[in-house]
Amino acid sequence: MTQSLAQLETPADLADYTWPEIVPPKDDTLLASRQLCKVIGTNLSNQSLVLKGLDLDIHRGEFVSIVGASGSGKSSLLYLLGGLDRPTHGEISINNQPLSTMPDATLTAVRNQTVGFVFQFHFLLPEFTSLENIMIPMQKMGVRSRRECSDHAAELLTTVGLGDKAHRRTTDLSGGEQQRVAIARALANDPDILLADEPTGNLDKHNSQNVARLFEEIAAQGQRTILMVTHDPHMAEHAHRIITLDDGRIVEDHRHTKKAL
Amino acid sequence: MNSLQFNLATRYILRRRRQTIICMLGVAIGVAIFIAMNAMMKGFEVKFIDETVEGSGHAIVKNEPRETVAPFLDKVYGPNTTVDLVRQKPQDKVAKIRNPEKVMHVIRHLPGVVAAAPTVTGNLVISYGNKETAVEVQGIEPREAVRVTSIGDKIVEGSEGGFERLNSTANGILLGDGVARLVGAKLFDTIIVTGPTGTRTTSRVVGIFSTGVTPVDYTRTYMLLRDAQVLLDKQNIVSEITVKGDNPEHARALAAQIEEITGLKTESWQEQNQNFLSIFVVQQAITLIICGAILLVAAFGVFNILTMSVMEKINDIAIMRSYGLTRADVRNAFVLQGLMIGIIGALLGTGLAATIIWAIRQLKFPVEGLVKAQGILMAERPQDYLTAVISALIITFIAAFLPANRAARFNPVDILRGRH
Ligand SMILES: Nc1ncnc2c1ncn2[C@@H]1O[C@H](COP(=O)(O)OP(=O)(O)OP(=O)(O)O)[C@@H](O)[C@H]1O
Ligand SMILES: [Mg+2]
Repeated sequence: MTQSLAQLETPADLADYTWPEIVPPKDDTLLASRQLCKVIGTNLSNQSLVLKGLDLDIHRGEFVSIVGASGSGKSSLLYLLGGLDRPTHGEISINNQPLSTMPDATLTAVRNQTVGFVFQFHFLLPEFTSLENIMIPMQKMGVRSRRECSDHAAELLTTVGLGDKAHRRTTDLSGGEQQRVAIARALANDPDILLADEPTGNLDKHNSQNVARLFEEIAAQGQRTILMVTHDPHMAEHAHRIITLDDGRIVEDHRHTKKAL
Repeated sequence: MNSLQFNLATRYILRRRRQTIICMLGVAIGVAIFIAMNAMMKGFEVKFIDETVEGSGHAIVKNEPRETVAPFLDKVYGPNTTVDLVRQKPQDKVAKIRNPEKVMHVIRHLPGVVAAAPTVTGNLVISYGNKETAVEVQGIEPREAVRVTSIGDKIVEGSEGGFERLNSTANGILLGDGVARLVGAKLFDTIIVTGPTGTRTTSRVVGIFSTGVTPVDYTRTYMLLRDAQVLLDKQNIVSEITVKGDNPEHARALAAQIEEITGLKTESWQEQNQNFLSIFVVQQAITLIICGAILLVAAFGVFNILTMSVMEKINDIAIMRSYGLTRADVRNAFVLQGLMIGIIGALLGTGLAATIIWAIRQLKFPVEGLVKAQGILMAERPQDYLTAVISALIITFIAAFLPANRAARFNPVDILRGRH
């Protein structure tokens, strides 16, 4: 029995939903999802369907904001798109590589090399300096020598305006500085995709502006694709495209001319 | 294990210096006590066995045939009959080895046999003044006896003549120093010796020996074989042949071989001292249990510190997994912390053990228990060090692996959502 996507509401609905054939994304699509569904919760009583069949195509160089009410599924979507979680149903592909067929080890390597995450909290390792925090993902990738890692990390710190704080313990930095180090860390392995989950959620207006400007600069280079979840309409305005989620569905997806800096 | 994991582990461990040091000390103490206790136990055991083996010979050939059941009951009542045996009168046959010269000749020519010496044994009462004590006498051939046991080296008074003096003095007797003390006799004193059948004679103390094995020194005396035979009313009788082999560890096999060839019951030193040997086994087990318990406590410390560390680092684990560290990276980073505690703790422990053993060896005081010694005997053995270190490492590895594996199994998304 074929139903309409609008009827998909609970995890139970998933079981007897008949999906149409998946339409593969175009070749130049960087990041795409098809029929993306995610059930969260460990047992029947607290399970809910938080993403309800999302189709999404994002191209190289796009700066996308994801907005929506609390609980609409923004974070869940971001985790899935970055390969940090696996969908209950549907497909995600990065550079036309479907994630569902990848073993965990490959998915981990994708997160290391192709994706950079920034979260609301900076999650810097307090035992290490700013520079070392940025070097860890590079060392994990294992392409650069230690010296090259260190040089590149210093370069990234300069990009985020913290060239002089490379050897500070991260606990000695301000909140805004910590978040900028976290952004530099997300860029460590020159990822194609930067995924940010409320990166300014914890910052004051001034620091939020700094972060927004940083994202604009990164986007302006045209190499990286940015997906930024935010609650703040002003932040969202910095993007080229704003996707609105409501209760696990995309209810609005519009492009707009970039606001002048 | 790679440098990244190692780097993480060292940073984390340095973060909790105090707890880490306490944990390492726990491991160190466990290892040190294991080694020191084993050294002490083994020291005593080795000394005891040494004294026993060298003092009493490797194997003793006896006169009795080895019988397990009373075969005459089978003969009388037929096999498989239940007989209610109320009393059995002991045989009063004199224990003796028939044709001892020939038996000794055969034994001496067996491979692995160094020497064999005849002995007649019996009980005497010796008296000096108004003091009296019952003793065991061994009638020996001095020249042969010193070849099968170390008794020749144990004479503490009158050693110039040594055992040979038994040959040159009519009715000469050698007393254990304990026996001498009991009756108050000194070297060259004349004492009265009474045999079991009432034969009495005067006897000259020609030497006093001290084997270091207390029960021996307080009960044993030596006389010339011929003199003892007369006194015990066992003319021309040899009750035992003491055999020395080339390796005490092979005594069981040698004894079995002699028994098979001669048909005479032959007991190895192990069989004779079974009681003591089983005490050593129990002692060893107790040591193991105590040390195991200490190491277990240390392991619990490691488990604890790592479990706490994992909980504290849970966000760091999530972020590291998000930027590409694998489950194995996370697991190894924590296992390495445990191993570092284990390795450094174990090394400290061996140092501590060496110090304790050295310190105990400096204590010099006379000890008179089952064996006599100056201070506490310590047998420092490399295998004890090795066992202690390896068990400490295994146990800390397990203690670290459990929380480490938990850390590795976390789902980063669950942590980011604030549920784990
Ligand atoms: N561990 C969980 N078990 C059950 N339901 C959960 C769990 N975590 C989140 N949810 C539910 O999943 C839905 C989507 O959560 P998600 O975090 O993706 O929303 P969000 O849009 O990011 O919200 P916010 O703006 O508050 O961050 C919410 O309705 C939430 O209640
Ligand atoms: Mg969220």
